[in-house]
Amino acid sequence: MNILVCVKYVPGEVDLELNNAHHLNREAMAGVINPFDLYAMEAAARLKDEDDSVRITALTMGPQGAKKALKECLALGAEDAYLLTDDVLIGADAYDTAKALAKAVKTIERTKGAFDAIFIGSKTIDGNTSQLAMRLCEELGLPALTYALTATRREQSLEVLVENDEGNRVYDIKLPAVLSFTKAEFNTRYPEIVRIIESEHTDIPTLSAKDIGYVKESKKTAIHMEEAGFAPTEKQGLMIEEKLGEDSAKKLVGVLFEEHLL
Amino acid sequence: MKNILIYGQTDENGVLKRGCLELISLAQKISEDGKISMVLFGDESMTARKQAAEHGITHLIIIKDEKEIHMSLIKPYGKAIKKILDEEYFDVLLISATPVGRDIAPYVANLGGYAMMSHCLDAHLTKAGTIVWSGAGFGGTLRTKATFDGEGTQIVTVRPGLFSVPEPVTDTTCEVEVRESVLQPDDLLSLIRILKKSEIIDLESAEVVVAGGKGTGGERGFALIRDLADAFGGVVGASRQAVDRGWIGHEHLVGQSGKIISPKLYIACGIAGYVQHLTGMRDSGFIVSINTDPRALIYDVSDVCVVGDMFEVLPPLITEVKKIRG
Repeated sequence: MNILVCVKYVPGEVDLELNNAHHLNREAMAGVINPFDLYAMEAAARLKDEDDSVRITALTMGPQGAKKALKECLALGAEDAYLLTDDVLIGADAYDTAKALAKAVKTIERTKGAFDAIFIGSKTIDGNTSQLAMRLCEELGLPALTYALTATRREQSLEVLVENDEGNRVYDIKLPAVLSFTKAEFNTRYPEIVRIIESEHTDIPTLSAKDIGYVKESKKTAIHMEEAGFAPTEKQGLMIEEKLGEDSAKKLVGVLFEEHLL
Repeated sequence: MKNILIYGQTDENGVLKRGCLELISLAQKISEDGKISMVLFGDESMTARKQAAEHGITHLIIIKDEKEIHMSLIKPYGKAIKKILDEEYFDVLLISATPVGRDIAPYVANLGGYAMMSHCLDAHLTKAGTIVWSGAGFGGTLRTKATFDGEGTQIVTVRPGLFSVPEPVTDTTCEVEVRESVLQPDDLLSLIRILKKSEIIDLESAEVVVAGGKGTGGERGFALIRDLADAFGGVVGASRQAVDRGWIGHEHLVGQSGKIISPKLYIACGIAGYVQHLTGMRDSGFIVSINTDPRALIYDVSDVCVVGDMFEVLPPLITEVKKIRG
């Protein structure tokens, strides 16, 4: 089984920086692998735990610095990793990203063979658009399941546990397919020290837009960021600090009533 | 004048999801008296038909199909919505950011070659008639305002819980169009089984969420939280601290690794307010926090900060709320 895991290198939680175009200044930030993508990587690694013949390839799109995310994937169990990087992809939205990733998938398949499954995170902690899985599956002409928690191998398919508010569901999905993973109750694994050292020496090929035959396509609509700023961090909330809990409760009820919340 | 199409998601009983009714309020805010249409999947007899007409939909398209959408219908329903956009021009397609809506919207956008905006919080019209969409990025840390370039339909998902449902009116006219479905479910996907359906926790569409953290001390505290949530007709939420201690299930988790919600009223009890939790609830309409620590971080995002012991404040609060709500 041949699995491709797509990961995104996202800024850590501190030191966000905005550039003139109201976009996050990605070059300047110390990053991490998007936590949701780590669950996609974990799901692939678990399939490999079960079956040694499973091969995992990691792919990311981003600046040169995003290679750090790929090294982590190698240390977590991926055999190969590719960086898709090109100036034409700077500021790519979900539409552009899905088109570019689909082309990169096709390009990698030419040397590595067809992928049976493509795993990604269900959302990212930076953009949080949650658009990619459904766009990517359409670009690749594959079925998709989103918000997966675990995946188990069956003969020609995967049995997938999917998060659902009205009771989690188990699906069977024919391969090849696109699966997006969300955070599960278990923790993702830590890389083995030996693999961390090995990953430092593994060659990570770089793909350019030209290599994958990507040309930015025009779309019917595009999003124009007018303003971006940091949310006000502190509200000056009304303090209720009565001696008796009962008095505090009554005062609170009064406020809720005035606000039409009761 | 803007013509707006809303995807009306229904449950197994053919009832519209609350978030979809809220979209009518948003549509009325930006339509400048344009047509507000809704597309439904189901049949003519479903409750949603009446709900849509009563709450201000003037044009309803019913596609005869399954009332309750499931995973293998996301693509066919997406294709049907895209076909409507091809046949008739709509300025805006509004979809509630439910788990299903979050999948359908980008699928429709991709089929039609559109960009799309996810999880918007609000919108307003400029004097020139441009719609400016408000959103949040990086877990609520960043606030954004964005517009669409280009002439195509603006496809947007909107977080449920932020708008009121328009008041029902009886003397409405709603043009109803019924179409036969030609959709084939995706046969590459099949549902094998549904696990534990005993308790439905729809945090994302709840109007009121009462949440507990470390300060609840466990079961006794959560019993009070449940009572208060029941008194409000709301849903119970929890912080990571409470979930990790096994006091309550993961499905109640609010925060970066749980649900990101924006109910009308959020009451946080015994929650410290670490950034991961704030990410999940800071966009709520009105936030009340009850904590013994007067310096609790949660107060920074709260509209009302009650300094006190939840075991002393909650029992009289529950009594009062029950009295008022009858």
